[in-house]
Amino acid sequence: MEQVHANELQELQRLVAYQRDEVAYRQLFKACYPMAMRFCKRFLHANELAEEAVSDVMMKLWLMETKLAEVRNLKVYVMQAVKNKAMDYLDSHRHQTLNEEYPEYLPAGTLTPEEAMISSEAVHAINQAIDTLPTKCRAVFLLVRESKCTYREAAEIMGISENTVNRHIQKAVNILAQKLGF
Amino acid sequence: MEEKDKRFFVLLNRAMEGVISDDDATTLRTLADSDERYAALYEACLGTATAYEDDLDETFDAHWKKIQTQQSAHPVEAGTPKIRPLFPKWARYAAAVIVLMIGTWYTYQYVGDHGEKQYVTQPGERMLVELPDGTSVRLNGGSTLVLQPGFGRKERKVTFNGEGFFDVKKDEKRTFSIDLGETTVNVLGTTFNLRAYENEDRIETALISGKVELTFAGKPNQDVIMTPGRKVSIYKQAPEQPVSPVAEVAADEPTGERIVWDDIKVTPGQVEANEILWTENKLVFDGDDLDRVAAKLQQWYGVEVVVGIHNAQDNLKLSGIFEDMPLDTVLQTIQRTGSMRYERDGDKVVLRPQNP
Repeated sequence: MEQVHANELQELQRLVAYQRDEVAYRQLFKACYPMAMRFCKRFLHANELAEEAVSDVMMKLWLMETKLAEVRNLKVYVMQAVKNKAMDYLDSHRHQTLNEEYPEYLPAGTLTPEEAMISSEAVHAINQAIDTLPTKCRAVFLLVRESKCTYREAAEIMGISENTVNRHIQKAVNILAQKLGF
Repeated sequence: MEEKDKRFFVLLNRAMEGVISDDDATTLRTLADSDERYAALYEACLGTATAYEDDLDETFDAHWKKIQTQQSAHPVEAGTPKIRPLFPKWARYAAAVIVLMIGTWYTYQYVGDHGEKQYVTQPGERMLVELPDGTSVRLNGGSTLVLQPGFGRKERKVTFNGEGFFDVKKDEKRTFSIDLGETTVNVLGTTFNLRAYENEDRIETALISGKVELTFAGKPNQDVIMTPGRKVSIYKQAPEQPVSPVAEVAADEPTGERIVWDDIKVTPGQVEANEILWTENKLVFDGDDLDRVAAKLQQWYGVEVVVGIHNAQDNLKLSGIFEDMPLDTVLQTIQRTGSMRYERDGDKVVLRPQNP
């Protein structure tokens, strides 16, 4: 999403909406899918569920036809839909421990120099710590961390004020600090 | 909490909010490097987002397939109102859309017998395609673009029928050439609009930027070289009545009874030239006669438009720009100009000159 300019996104939306343009839809998909997946995978801890949720949302973009052109901020729209789906899922499976499906979490791919400085046990500890955050707090935190949302975007997606976003983030940072030995 | 800790937390919060100065970001980074706990918290909050390395094109292809299989798994019979209300509202429209989509998918990805790849739009459909060399072409309704085998290796050869707005990727080693039968359009890297429907009387090239050269089979010394802002129409046969020249012709621009020069015009209030407004979803008539109005309506709305008996000397000229308007509105507007009248029966439209 970061690489695609907002104007371009609007143009793609219009092409998909009015001209049913498949190439534009592909570009739109590529612009939205990674940020949605990054959030959803970390939030749900279940790859298949995350893929299903994100794919449903992406499909809806195609099927909403001309309504797509009316979407003002596609990033917010997509992330809101993904967040809602993920939240619904957590609600309906409150009694199951999702973490069991996904015990060992390590970042995919090669490590950046910064990551290489901390051991893989530390990365594991970090991810476990993030998983202990309360649901809403975790959602806000992951929107900012994984999907690179601004506080304003996160506020709109969560339906809360920017101040509340700020409070969630501070709470998240405090909890993480405790878990990580402060 | 130590002073140093406090400082770290303040900076960390600012960084997360995205309101940190470069200097503070450096300080934060230095602090993080100085202490294992800081490093861990820094990583937890600002670390590289989880890598996402799947091939997105492959993911998208699978996404398309999924949409298609869903369609075959849940066929929705057209015309039956017994759609289960369990489906979300948008799913009810799925059948029609998916049928349309599958059609597009097959034509778009069609690979011919000799390994050529072709892109096809149906009348009423417009599409943006990206070619392997980075060139993008926006196709107007009822167009076919065929990449010749080996496209992009030594040369970039295509054949074309229809209307397209070409943004050709610059590559001096490999000329991009569009074979239109008798006429060939050669380009290096430019943007231009080409209107070359097989069933129309002329080939129109409007050059926005760069350079374009037209060559004619069997006439090696009659090349036409265009400069930006110019538009040239090459008639397939000498017009019955000579087309009155519309613009001054420069000394180096060849003329003939089959070559007519014009300037690209921008209608007041519009940003782009008339020739490429169609790429912005605007249907444009630019001094068009009855036949051309009919052809444009047919390509735009995917309906059959026939022209009633009329005298070639009627000399009707229609100009106008329509944006996102239903066919009936356009037809009514045309009729109101007093130059033409129409009858519409479903997907068939008859246009006639207004009786005097």
